[in-house]
Amino acid sequence: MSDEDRMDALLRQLAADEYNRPPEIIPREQMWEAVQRGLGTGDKGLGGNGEQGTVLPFHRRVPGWVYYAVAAALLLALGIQVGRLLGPSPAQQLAPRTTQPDSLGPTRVAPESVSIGNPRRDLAATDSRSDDGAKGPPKQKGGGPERQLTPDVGNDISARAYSVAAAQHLTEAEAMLTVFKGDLSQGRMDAEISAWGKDLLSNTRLLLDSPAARDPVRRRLLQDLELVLVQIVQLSPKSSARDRDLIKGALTDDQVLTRLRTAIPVKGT
Amino acid sequence: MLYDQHVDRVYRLAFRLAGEDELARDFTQETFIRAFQRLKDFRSESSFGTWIHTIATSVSLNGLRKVKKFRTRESSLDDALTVGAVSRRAEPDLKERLKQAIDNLPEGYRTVFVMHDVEGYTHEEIAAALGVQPGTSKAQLFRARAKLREALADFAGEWVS
Repeated sequence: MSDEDRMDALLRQLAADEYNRPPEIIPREQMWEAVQRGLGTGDKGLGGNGEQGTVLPFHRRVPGWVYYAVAAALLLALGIQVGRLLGPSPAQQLAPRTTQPDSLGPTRVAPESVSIGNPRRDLAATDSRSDDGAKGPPKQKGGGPERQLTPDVGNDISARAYSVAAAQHLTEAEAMLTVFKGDLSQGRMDAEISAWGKDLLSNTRLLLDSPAARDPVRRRLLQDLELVLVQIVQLSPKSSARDRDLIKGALTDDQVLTRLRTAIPVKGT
Repeated sequence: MLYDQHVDRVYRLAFRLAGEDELARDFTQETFIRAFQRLKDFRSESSFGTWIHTIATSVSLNGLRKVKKFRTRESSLDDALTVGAVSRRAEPDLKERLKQAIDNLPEGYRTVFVMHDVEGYTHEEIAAALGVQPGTSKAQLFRARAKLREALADFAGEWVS
């Protein structure tokens, strides 16, 4: 045995004995109660609706809506403050550079066409699906409404950037899953699909860890997408038909593809 | 019962990665909540075991990233000890030095080292849980061990004699 091997063995032993050593008694019952509460109330995860469990840490004890309410209030206050500071005149000067005709309609915007200089169209494309695009034109054409282009610059750009990134990612994921589903039905397994899946998996996890996942619906979709991608990445030519059926089931039962398509903004013409 | 069969191993892994009971409980609970919500997708024990560890590692690593971001603001730069710059005089306790060295490993190396060398997972299990190839897991373990040897080099003389 070489010195390196001997040192590795000693490190391994020491780490197993000492490094973050779990307690002898594992709190199974308490965790089970918390799991039941989480399931019983439809709690959707880390960003869920806030079970009041005694063993849950802070981010699970605080209801999710509190974060949104605080964020909305701060955004509103910031918007009002900046709006007051800038007033209509400077905004009017900015107007010709920042506005564009609305002939494209409310939601028909390609994610890749979104730019920072075009904030309202971005928001129409990627934010609330219930937003009526018809609200847009009067705000852009008049002098007064231009104030809305200036207030929430920092937060809006950040939120928009994440929304655009999420939209592009979901578009790519939808394309990949569509190709994969086609291959699956023909019993093929393309190595490129697996590599593609790995890239998407990494990006999905990054998005899950970003503000893009604050939207509960998007977060849920990303979580489901992550699970499907993990299964696809693990699929090999040796995998059994059952493994493929499981993925097919996940795609069908959880309606991942359908939800992806619903979440992706429609491309403009 | 699926929970009873897997909870100990999931909790142990979460604790090893998180280093504290509250986080380990949270990650374990989150893992089972997510798993049970999608239980219909899985029909056999072996699939569930692999799958739940995939969820467990994902939940734990994502959760730890959030915690790390939060705590980074509180910690002083002076407290941060890089793997290669550990001074034995400053930190004479070997156990503490080992803990710091492992904590300072890159996330991928640390995860594989903890799963394989500390908790005894196979490279195939690790690969399945992390969504990588077994060869990647082996390579990361090799590099993790090398970094630990480097970080604790000043103890090597005593150990191998």
